[in-house]
Amino acid sequence: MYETIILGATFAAAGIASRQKKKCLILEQSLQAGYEFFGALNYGTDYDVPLKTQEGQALYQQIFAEGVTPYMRNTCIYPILQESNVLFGTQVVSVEKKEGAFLCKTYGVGGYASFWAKNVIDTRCSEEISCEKTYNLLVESDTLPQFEGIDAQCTGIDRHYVLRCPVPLLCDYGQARELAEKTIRQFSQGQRLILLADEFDYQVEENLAATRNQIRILPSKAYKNPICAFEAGLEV
Amino acid sequence: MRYLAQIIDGKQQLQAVSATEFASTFDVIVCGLGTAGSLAAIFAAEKGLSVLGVEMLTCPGGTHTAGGVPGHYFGCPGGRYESIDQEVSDFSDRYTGTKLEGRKLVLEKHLRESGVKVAYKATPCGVYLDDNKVVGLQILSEGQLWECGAKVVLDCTAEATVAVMAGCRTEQGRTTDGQMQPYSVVSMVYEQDKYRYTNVDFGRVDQNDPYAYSDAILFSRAYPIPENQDKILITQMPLPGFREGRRIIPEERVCLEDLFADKQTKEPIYYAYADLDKHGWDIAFDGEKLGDWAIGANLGAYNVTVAVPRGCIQPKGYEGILVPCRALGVDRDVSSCVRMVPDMKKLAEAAAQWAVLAVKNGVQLQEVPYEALRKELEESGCLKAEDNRGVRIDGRVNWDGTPIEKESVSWITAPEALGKRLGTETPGQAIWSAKRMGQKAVPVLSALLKEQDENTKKHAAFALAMLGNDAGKDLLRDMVYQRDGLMLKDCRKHNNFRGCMAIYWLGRLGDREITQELLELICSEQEAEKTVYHRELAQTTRYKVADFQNVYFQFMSQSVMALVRIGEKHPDLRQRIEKGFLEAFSSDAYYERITTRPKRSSEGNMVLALKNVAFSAVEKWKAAHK
Repeated sequence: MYETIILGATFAAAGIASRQKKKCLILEQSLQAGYEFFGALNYGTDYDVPLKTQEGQALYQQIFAEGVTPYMRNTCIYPILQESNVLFGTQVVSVEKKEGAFLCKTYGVGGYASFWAKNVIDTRCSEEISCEKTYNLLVESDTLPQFEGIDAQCTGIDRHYVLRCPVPLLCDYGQARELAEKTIRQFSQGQRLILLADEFDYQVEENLAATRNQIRILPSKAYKNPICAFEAGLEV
Repeated sequence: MRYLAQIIDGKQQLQAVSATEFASTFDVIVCGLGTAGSLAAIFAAEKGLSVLGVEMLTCPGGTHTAGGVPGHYFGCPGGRYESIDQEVSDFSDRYTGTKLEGRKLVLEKHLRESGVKVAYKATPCGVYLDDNKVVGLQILSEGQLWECGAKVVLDCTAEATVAVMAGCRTEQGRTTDGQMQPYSVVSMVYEQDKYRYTNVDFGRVDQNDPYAYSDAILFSRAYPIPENQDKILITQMPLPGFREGRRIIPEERVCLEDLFADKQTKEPIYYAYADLDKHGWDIAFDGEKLGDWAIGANLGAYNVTVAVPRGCIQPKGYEGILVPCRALGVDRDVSSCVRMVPDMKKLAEAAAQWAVLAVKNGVQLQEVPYEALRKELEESGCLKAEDNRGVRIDGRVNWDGTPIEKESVSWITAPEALGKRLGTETPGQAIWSAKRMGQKAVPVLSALLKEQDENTKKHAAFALAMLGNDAGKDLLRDMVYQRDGLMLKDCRKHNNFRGCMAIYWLGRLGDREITQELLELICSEQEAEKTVYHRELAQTTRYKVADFQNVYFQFMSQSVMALVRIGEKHPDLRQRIEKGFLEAFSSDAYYERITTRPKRSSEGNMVLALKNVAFSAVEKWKAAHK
């Protein structure tokens, strides 16, 4: 039995895992970690918020490594997760409380499997707990791109911007790409699409933390940036 | 009788269920919208079928988009994919920095316009079977289970996930140690105002083991990509690159020996065209059928043509399911040749067309006449007689950096003509021609052993060994004693050193007299210092690998494999060989002599294979003895 099963290989999950190490199991549907920020092309804001922990400061140093543009260094999450247990490509089928513990049924590479834990913490984000979502694009542009209703943010790289395209909460990835294509077809000369987000960028009520069916809810995206999410995980 | 088949804790379980109507039924369900699956879904829907696409990622295209493989090498053009590829090029040229993102958008548009219903972040997790016929699927999407009926299921998951769930038999890995090709993670970097994809190879892993799979993802994604102000990591691609996986046991299987014997299927759906490269330096462990070609004749980078039969994508004994993806039913030797990007696209078209003919005519897949399928594939250009190109020298750049002169290979048919080619540093075609001639080549080759010319007599010894004749064994042994370091030059890459070829052939012949020399080669600490392993080779020979003594590794790996073969043939030598293996591999000294790379790197993994292969053989001998 694990001490904790963590749903989602997020930065908040990395915070929890960095304390619990092998006592926890992280279940992740995708094949990446930290996707809620980097996979969504959301690089975070408010990096000037004072950090509370040494671990948070170490992560900050890695993300903003000297001589390297502070940009998309999602590789820094993996060494932290290597010290715990992670199953990628694993969907959660059900979580139920039984005999004072949680039974988590999953489906992944080896088919159906079951895991027991004393606690379950859900760090994922979904439409259920979001107030809005965007589908983000990384674009190269000579000038700040301007499209109606779309927020353009600077990145750490010269002439590179993130376009945050609002999409309906119930929009799926196919529909989001259809909407994105309409914007892309308006590109002027000197503007190019570099990357489509792998994941939706969810906006969640700030610092949202709750309990639902005795499962602790700690969405990583309720924090301004990956380091704040990581530190929230450390506090668990 | 209807069953629900599922995989639980790695094992298939069948549960009898009532054969009620499904809430919804599609003509075709495509599982995995990757390189093949996305096109198969589009092509089937464009022909009027109702299609559901089930994809675990959040975009279509698989390796061709999310895996960071924008282009392709080899394969043959032709077929319905070409117009979509052209659209991708046009869109990307105008709007995107890379073709990958353009492809996602163009594929999405075709999926939408053709009417394919797509479920992203979804995976098949159960199969409904009426006896041996697949009739529907259970699908899991973001925690929700739902089920659908299907007239045909196209399993494009790369790992034959649905087929395995249904109970179809599969195989995987090489016979020596069960290992598969190295896996990679591709990263997108921004360098000098350009975007490019950089590929890092890691070790070999069984991606069907959930723990090994996740561990491999963690390890590879933690691997730092060197960055500076001029080279910035934009992203790691979301889909890791597992090159090799399961292969189904099909109705009609393609084997390397059939290919070499010029046996071809009567029901081709396309012609695959590439080399038989296994993407590693440890070809010594890839088996004898491929070894004779790639090591024994030094023809590893010659391109071959494989006529892929339609039965290759049909799991043996099952109806209602096709497996048009990397998991198609060929043997391991052939598998790397038939999975080029254009091949997967043709496979998609063939499978979609086959499904269309079955559904529209209301018949089982097996009842679709081949002629009807062939007609459709020929009309679109997917299947063209001119794609049956035989064996060819192809590619862009030769081993020495010069442009390759592309040509078809015509095997030598007269034994008397062998000598001229054997006397060169490109004797491969003559060695293989001798194999094709059989015993009638022996008198000529035996006479050539007495020639003064070094190349002629040594290469004649190889050709004789290819025929199972040990008349040239003294010459072969001399090449080993001398550590003959001449690199033959038949191929654009992976050319063999003559000493290594001699070791290979002495192993194949089971030559007991070379045993001591090979044991010294693998055990001696001084061996690695020999000049032959440190000669300056041109960069273009592709033998230079950072922090990896590749030439020494070639001699070591061939020696280990030769000793295993000698031990197989001479049980009385096994104890001596085992003692040698223990001496060579009981500490990490052998590893450190070859590489300073981590053990979990691609190179480190190959070095560890020396020990694994050696001790696996010893265990097998002990088990046989008991």
